[in-house]
Amino acid sequence: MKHDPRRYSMPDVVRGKRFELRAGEQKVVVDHLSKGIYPAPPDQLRARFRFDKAYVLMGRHQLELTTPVAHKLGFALATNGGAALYLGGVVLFEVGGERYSLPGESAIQLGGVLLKKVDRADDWQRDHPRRRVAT
Amino acid sequence: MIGRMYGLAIASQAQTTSKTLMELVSAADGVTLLERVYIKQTSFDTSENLGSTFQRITTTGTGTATTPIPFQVGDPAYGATPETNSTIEPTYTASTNIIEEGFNVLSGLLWTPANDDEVIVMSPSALFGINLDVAPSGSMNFSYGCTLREIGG
Repeated sequence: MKHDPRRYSMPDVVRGKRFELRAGEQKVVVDHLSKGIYPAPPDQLRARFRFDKAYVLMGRHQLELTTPVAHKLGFALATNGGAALYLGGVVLFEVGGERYSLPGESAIQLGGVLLKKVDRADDWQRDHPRRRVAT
Repeated sequence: MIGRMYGLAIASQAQTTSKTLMELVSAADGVTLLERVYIKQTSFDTSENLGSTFQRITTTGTGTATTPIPFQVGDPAYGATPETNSTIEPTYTASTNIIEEGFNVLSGLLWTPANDDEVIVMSPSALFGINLDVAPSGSMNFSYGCTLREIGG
């Protein structure tokens, strides 16, 4: 039977799920925290794409992502953002040891926009089938 | 293209008062992007200004369960059940009025995000309402709908 969110109150079904991606010493983490203890992002967060990659721009930092990873990250941001919005708290976004705390709304929007950028980068890859892209 | 595209469409439905036309809901395990919203009027020939707001919802109201139709034949059903033509208004979340747009009933309203940053994102199980926030002067028929992109689910 298909799950129907209307059978439950909103906080019962909106759950965050920790997302963690490791590559050697580096890691990217998205998680829902019930309390925010980290400083707010120092600058604006943006999602962009260029050619076959998606990017998250955080102040002076730039996180370059292949489309499969960006898809997972965008989904995790939107999901944990929903948990923060409806259950309270903040979204932890940790990149290479730097920790950002995002309000739920910001995480939802950043995640959704990143998913759109993944779509654009994916289109670019299909338009350039002979160009070797990272996987 | 990532995700699956769905169209939610209601044809020529009589409206006499301000109300929530669409109460959208995202699947419990999916993220939904709102890519297009339109409200057209099909029965009244005199110029009249109305308005619409797009806003997050905290508590669901009551309306007619409506099934979004997949754009691509064979795609699975949308992961949740939006409602249309509310009979009991939902409770809107304070200070989350994302779009407030006036329109002439002769030309109608069409909203699409100006760029990717403006797309409306619904997290899992999130509710989102699109309403007619100004009552029409008399009974008018409205055709309205939206395009949804479901990711995950």
